[in-house]
Amino acid sequence: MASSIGPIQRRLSREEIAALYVRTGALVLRRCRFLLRDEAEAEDVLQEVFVRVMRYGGPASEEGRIELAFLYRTAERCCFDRMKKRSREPLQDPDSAVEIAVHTAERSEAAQLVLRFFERLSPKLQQVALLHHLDGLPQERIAEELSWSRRTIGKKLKQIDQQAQRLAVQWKERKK
Amino acid sequence: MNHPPAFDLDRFAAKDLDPAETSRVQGHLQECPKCQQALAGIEDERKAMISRLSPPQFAALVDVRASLSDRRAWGRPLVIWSLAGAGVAAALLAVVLLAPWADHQDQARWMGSAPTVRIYLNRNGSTMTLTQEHLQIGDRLRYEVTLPPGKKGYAALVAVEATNVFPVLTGSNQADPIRVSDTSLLPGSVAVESGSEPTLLCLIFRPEPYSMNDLIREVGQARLEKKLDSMPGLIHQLLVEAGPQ
Repeated sequence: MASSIGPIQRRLSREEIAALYVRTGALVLRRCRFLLRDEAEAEDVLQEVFVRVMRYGGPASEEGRIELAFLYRTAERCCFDRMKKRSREPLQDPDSAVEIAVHTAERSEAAQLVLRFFERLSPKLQQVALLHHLDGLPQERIAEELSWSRRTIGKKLKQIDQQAQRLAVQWKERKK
Repeated sequence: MNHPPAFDLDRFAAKDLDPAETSRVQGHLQECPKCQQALAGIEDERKAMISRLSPPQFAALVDVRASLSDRRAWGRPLVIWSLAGAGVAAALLAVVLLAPWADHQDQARWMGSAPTVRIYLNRNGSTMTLTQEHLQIGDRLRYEVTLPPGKKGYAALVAVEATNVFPVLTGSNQADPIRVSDTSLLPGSVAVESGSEPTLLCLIFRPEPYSMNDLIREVGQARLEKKLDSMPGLIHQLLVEAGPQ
């Protein structure tokens, strides 16, 4: 993993924001789309993330570039806040979940199931589900990323799989 | 085949990997059409995003939002149109002018050789560029005008309701337009409130100074003669009207 030189703790210029947008904007937007299932909201969160970075900076690589992981975590926090606020709204059809732009990279059946019902997972499990089933990270890296123990990650992943299977059964019953 | 985690492909696309990691992913990509396809997908999305909103435009928008979130509380209203008619069932919209914000001078940016206009919409504390959004009561709008480098001129926003014309955004003494150069965020904002008539917001820009009284007379006349669209200096129109219930 690229090592950080330490955070950039100053207001970024427009040029820096423009360059960061070119390098990472589409990736952050894609993540927001997946979480929010709404193009306009996703674009709004994208801007919100960049506003925060512009004002406060963030962790940077050796080349002095803001790291993608930091942008993802910031975007996820914004998205989770919005998802929480709208938790009383009717949930969308889970079959539309993986049609939202995500990688076409290989995914296991278990991962596809979790992503399909991601919106219905409890908020505490969504972060881990995101890193494991969307980003494909192994437990060790998730533990490092979230500063949790590997054991905790393992337990969460088990809960995620169980919850996803339960949701799949409930959805099937509902569709009958 | 051992694929790298999707996150590492993302980081590769973002040029976020160190040289050793980059080399590893590159090696895998040479042999893996699926990951090549995933990467191509990211590139397509990047191009689509940039074609919708260019990097300088995005950066300017972010800068404005960052400044807006630093602003202080609103001032009191300066002008209110009390146009609510009796028994109006639909949520028709008129405009209310609020106290000017602190002036925001941007670095020079230009897009082409004609003035361009960007409108920022603030809704419930979130700011975005106004595109196809339906306006809602409570929304607030700010206008930004961008001129070719080195160019200067005078801008004003007027509201047209039926046959009435009102000044909305003007210079500080309200008798003159706003002096603009390069990229200027016009001082003051427009709030959308309930009313009984659709309102046409017309942004006029001219290289030479003019008086607001003359402009209002000219706009009123152009409206009567149905020649508003061809009025000199009219660079933007925005119709504010009832939305679906």
